[in-house]
Amino acid sequence: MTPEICRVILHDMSGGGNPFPVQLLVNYWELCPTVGGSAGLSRKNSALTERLDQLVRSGVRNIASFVPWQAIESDISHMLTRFLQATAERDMSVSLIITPEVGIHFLNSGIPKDVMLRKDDMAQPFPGKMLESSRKQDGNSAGTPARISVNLPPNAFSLPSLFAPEFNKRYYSFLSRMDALLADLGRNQPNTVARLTVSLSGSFWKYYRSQQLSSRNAFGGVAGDYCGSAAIAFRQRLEQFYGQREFLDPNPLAANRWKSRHFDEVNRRWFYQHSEDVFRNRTFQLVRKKANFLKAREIELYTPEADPGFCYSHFLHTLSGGNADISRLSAIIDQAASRATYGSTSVAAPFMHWSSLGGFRNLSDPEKQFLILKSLLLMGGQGGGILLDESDWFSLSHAFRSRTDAIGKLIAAGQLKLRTKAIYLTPHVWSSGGVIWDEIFKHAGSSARISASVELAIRDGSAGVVIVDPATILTRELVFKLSALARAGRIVALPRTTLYTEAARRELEAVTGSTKRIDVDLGIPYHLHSFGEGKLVLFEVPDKTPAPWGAFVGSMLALGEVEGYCRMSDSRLNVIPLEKPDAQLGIFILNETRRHVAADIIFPNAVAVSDFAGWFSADAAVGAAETDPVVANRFSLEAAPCGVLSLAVNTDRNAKRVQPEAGVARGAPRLEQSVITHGEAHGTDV
Amino acid sequence: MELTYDWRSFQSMFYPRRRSLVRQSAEPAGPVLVIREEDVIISAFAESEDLSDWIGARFEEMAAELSHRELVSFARADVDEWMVDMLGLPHFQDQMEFLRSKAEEALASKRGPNAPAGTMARTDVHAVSNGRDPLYRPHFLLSAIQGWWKKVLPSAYGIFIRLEGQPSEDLFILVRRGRLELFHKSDLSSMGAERCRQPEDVVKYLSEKHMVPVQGVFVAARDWLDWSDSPNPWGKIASGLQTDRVKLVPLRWDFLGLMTLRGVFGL
Repeated sequence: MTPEICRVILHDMSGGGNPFPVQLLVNYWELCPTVGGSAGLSRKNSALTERLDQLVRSGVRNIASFVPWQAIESDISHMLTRFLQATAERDMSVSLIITPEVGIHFLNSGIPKDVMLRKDDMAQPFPGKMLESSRKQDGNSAGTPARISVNLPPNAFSLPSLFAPEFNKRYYSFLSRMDALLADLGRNQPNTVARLTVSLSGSFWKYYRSQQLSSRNAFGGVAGDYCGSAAIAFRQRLEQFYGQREFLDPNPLAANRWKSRHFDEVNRRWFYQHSEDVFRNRTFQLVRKKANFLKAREIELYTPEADPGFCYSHFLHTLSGGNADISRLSAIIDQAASRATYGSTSVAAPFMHWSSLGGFRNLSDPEKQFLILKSLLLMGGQGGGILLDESDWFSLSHAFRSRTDAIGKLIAAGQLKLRTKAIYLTPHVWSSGGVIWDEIFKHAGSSARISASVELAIRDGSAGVVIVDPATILTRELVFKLSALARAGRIVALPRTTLYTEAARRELEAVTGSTKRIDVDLGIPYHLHSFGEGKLVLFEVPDKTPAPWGAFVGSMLALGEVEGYCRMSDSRLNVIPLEKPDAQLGIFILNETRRHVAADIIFPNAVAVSDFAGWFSADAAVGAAETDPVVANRFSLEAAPCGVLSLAVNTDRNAKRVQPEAGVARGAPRLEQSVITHGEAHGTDV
Repeated sequence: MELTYDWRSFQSMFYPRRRSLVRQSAEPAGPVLVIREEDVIISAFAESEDLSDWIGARFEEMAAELSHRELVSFARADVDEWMVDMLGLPHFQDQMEFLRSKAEEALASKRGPNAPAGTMARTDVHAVSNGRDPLYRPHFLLSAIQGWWKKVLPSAYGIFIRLEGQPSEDLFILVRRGRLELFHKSDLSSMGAERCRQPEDVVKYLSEKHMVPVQGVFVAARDWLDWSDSPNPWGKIASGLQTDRVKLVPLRWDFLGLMTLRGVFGL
């Protein structure tokens, strides 16, 4: 096989880049595709064909649809086939999301009712919590187990456990059915699936979290399912994992140390991540068993309205009949966007799904636009995007849609990227990252990622700093890969814990033995080993809390030269910087408050700032020339309530028309700013 | 495919969207709703306010700081229990009504000896004791069919609502013993385009399909929106009935009588 063929296959498997960061949802089963839709059938228009024709007239050529498990099992009228026929006739690309997800406008989010009947197969939150009142009434210690519920219409329901054997049996059978259906279509009607992409997401794992802990901090606490099936699977997997030769060194009894109760939380985190990886792998393999000619894309689909951390807030605003809490949703998406996952064969493209079934619908248009744009910038910049119901999309103003679409096109063309500068390697991506992660996030903001995959750190060459969570089990392979990263010029910080295998310890000694060591103590003592430009840091993990992690993280980021592009004089404004390949930046300033906020944006050096709209023109150079760049290092601006300001920034010091003194004084430059979410209404000269 | 619970159509009909931004006032005065774990706030909400800084704070501090505001708090354990109990109900509307009723009960009993721990309402404004929900105003039609009308109306019946406008919007709801059993946009494609426009034909078709009497309500979308926003819309509805702005198909005297009673006497 030639490298070119290899490249083509890999490109195909990853879904061919990120062609559609803004995906519109058209659920075929919500419409009525049973009349019309195919040239061979009745010519009469159906609700589905009419809707598709409308979308085509509006210029939409790509749509996404959920495939509810229950809808497939009861699809006696071949709705899916007719839907794919109808889209193929209109040259539309379709993404079918076939993994179970929440926020689907279907009873139990599409999970068959009979699967939901077994109470023992429902997921339970940490730590196998019981409802307090049921304990009181029963007078025993058992009581009613708490549930992990998804409180979204059409009905709130308990999430089933992905560890339940019965559930898995049915689920894998559903995947095989889908595989056979798509394979048949591909064989008999190849045109129907020519523009089809099968999207495989991470399913429910990210929602197995405690409402209580997540409400205090977004993604707070230890995530995971604690039901009976999960407990059995946990013990079985531990036996398998610690039965490996590496853990039996220096003697077979050494494995018992790893399985002790002392390591319970460490093992739990490893177990949940491992189980999720296995689930993703199996799903990927089963769907591509026969239909391996189809494009498959691994995504991480996240629905903020279904997040356990939004559950209480949703309850309160439902009770009051008021608007949803935008600041809560905004904080949740900040944390969700910083979590990067790896699929079976590639980085899972992160997508934010605004279902409009929960709190999102109760927001005003400016608030919705704010959240949509923020999600697009955060997720689209990482190779993903947003998923919106098409009716919600078209209910927004034309000006907003045009701007968002234009940003989407820049993202699709690889012109705007959210660079990862620091990665925190954690054993479980959906659990709390702890204090070290909090400090990294505080320092690096949207440039920081938390991930459980070392592959992601290896593939993302822009991440200059990799810090490993002290609860990570360090095997020889992991130490080898991490030290290779340090040799390649990265800053890699490893904790000095008891979670190294003997082989890993030897590997680390071999790596560090030949290098010069510098001892540093900034509250957290650490040894620094240099490998040319790269550095390997071994840091102590103090028992006492709180430890001064801020200074340590600051020094690691300084070593990796991770610094912000700019800062705001008012902390109510946040910045999302997206990079262009030609050393230019798209700076987006977000005001999530309901008040006008006036502030300064301060750059470390003088930069040329111009209207971001210039980048939207077909010829960016022409567009840029039309605007009038201002060069300074400090600019005053005013952000409208729920507004997003966008600036095109040229960091090239040789930028023309330098006016060194012009922008230093507050309010001095008259800078025309394009305001995206409020269109012309708030486009202000400052 | 006809969904049993077509929430999108349902909420579009009964919970109209808010499109404009509610600006944060300099002196917010609305009620503050809180869920707390013992004395620690784990969730706080007030209309158009960012209360995220209060999360993790002590409730006493909030009470002292916001002494001029109405505070309504619930114990986290109670809320968790209500949320598990509601899962047995068939659809989101019932589930939300259940949560509201539980919250209302907890607030109403706040002074009693059996008051749930952590639940309190500090209020002089809302009449909690008279049994009315102090925090939320339900839709006028849902409130009527789930109220005393259920004692008068048949045990099972359907209501077909068509909001005339561009485009028109339909919803069919099936009520059994005062509870919503089904709500969706009916698939009328087998009727043909011409018959679909005839109110009598649509009502007859649905009545035969679901084997229950069906009351058709045909009204302009603008009027419906106006009524939905109004705190007491029945007067407007009664006047709409007289001026033929609301069309009932078929014209059932009992249904008309009930609507007029509400409009004229507020019953």
